[in-house]
Amino acid sequence: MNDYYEADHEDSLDTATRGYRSQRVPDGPPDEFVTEVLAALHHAEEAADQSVTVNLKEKFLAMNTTAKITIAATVLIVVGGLLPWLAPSGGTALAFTNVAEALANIRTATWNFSVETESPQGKMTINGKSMYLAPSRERREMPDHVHAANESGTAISLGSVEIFDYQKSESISLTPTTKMARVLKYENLPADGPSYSFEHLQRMVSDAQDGRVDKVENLGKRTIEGRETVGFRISKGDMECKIWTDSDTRLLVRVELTALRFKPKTRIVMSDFRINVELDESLFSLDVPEGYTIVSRLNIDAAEPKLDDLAQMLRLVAEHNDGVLPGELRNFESIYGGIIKSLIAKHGADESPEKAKAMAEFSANVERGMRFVLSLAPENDSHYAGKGVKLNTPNRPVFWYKPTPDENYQVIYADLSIKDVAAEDLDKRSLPAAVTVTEKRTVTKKSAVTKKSTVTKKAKFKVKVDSEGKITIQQD
Amino acid sequence: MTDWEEVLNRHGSVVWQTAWRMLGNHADALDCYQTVFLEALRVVERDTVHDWPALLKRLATARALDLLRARYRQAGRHEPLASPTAVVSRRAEPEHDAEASELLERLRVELAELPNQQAEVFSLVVLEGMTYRQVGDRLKLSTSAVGMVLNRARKRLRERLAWVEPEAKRKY
Repeated sequence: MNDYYEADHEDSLDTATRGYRSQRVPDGPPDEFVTEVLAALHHAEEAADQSVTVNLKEKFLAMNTTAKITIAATVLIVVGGLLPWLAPSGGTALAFTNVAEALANIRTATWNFSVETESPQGKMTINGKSMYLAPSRERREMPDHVHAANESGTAISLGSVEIFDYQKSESISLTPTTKMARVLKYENLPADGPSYSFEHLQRMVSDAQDGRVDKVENLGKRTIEGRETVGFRISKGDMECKIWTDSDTRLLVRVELTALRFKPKTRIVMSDFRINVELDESLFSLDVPEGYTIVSRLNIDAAEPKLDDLAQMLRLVAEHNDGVLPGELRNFESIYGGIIKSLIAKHGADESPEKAKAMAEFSANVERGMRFVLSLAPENDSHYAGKGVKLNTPNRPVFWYKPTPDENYQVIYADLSIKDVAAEDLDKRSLPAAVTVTEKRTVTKKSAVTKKSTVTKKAKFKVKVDSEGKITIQQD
Repeated sequence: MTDWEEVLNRHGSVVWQTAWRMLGNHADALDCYQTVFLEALRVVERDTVHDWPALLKRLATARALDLLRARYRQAGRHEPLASPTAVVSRRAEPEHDAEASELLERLRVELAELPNQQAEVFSLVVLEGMTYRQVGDRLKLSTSAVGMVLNRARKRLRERLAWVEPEAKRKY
């Protein structure tokens, strides 16, 4: 039932269709490629027969890189065909096994990403491309001349090519327009890399599978880019991850990462995934290209941050802010505004090696404090009261939190000393006449049996300090 | 147990040719070929396959369209081919080969822009020569629904390609 126009009435579509059919298709695919595909299919069938459940992440890390198709096929059959999608109450963790295992066995991947921020200054989106080469290398490219506007309306430019090698614990950041490079070496790097790295995504999904996150919800089916997908939402601490995978193949289609309490409101979207494509290893080289100037070489301690790191961050920010502590902790402008202004005042608005070096050093030094803040969960009952407070103001608590609900508060004072204090024992002389700090908290209850957290109450807390200095913490 | 060697020997060329014609380059065609057979494995786990060529053509077309969409989304709508598809126009002059190649590339771009169902139906019926019934069976559509979707796809593609002056009109 195919109808065609006669030559007299042929239009562009007919010409294109005719051109399609008359293409000279070369012989192929190569015999060795077909042999590999066949081997992969046989292996996958055997794996399914044996009902193998494998720790795919460990297997993958130990594996020879030439075993690519075999592993992809194994994952698809072990993960994809045998388990139905389950409702959260029935066993989302079981359904998540499919996704976790499919992710863990990816050999290469490319995807597009966008970083969307929303602040009082408006919305901004930065688009880029990423590539992943197992087991531990990533490359991230952002367009040249990316600027992040700040409150004063001036701008900073961000490095536009970043290459990470987590196994070597090194990375380089290149800005092609200015030919500047930054070299970073990491100590105590976490197993899963930076927060929007592919390995971090793999780890987050793996943790969800093992019940090591706060919550996993099934988002149901959705059509994305013409494909039927199934979605999950993973909540862990301050991070939320939504992930959609192809209903049939369980391959990634879209990922959204959100830092829930960070300001400006930030969301990272990963899309257009291509899995197990050929990638040139030179794309992931840590050699600084010829013609580039290395503006900084930094050593970063990537160990789990502590309260001391927050104190250090407060000091650094205050030093670039006329001695005043930041207004908020989860606010990019509060943390970076002072250093940006002082660098512009000193070096001008244009990018320069000196400015880039200073920014890199500042970022490296406050990064641990920022990570500490982002790691705080509702049960830590953290409070920040440093807005407008001058560094070294005597006996003035500016931050307090509980490492665990059963412990006393750990308190940072304006002189950046840290003390262990029970709520009722905070020094009354240090407190202003009356202060009320109101925070909203979501109260969750974690089941000792299922390890899942459910929201039992959304509550508003008030921390009141009366004129006698007595502190009361009330839940509305 | 499926005799995959037999399947690849008998039907591998169907997948290869569909993938190559849709995508126009070697690397993408290999990528598509691999993906198609891994997907076929999953299909076999759920169901008995009665018509391998139809199944494989459908999978190859669907995955090739995915790759085209990703290609053009990444590079903008007018990415030149790394290794241009060799297209022979009806006339033998080299300038007409180049013109036919450009038109074919435009077709790929516009296919990637079509809604998924229209792109699949058009590709399977018009480009790959499957019957309405075969396409309906694979896509769970009636034959009349296939016809309607095909008409919509054709109309849209004609509109989109209309700016490219067809060879036949040049003499007027």
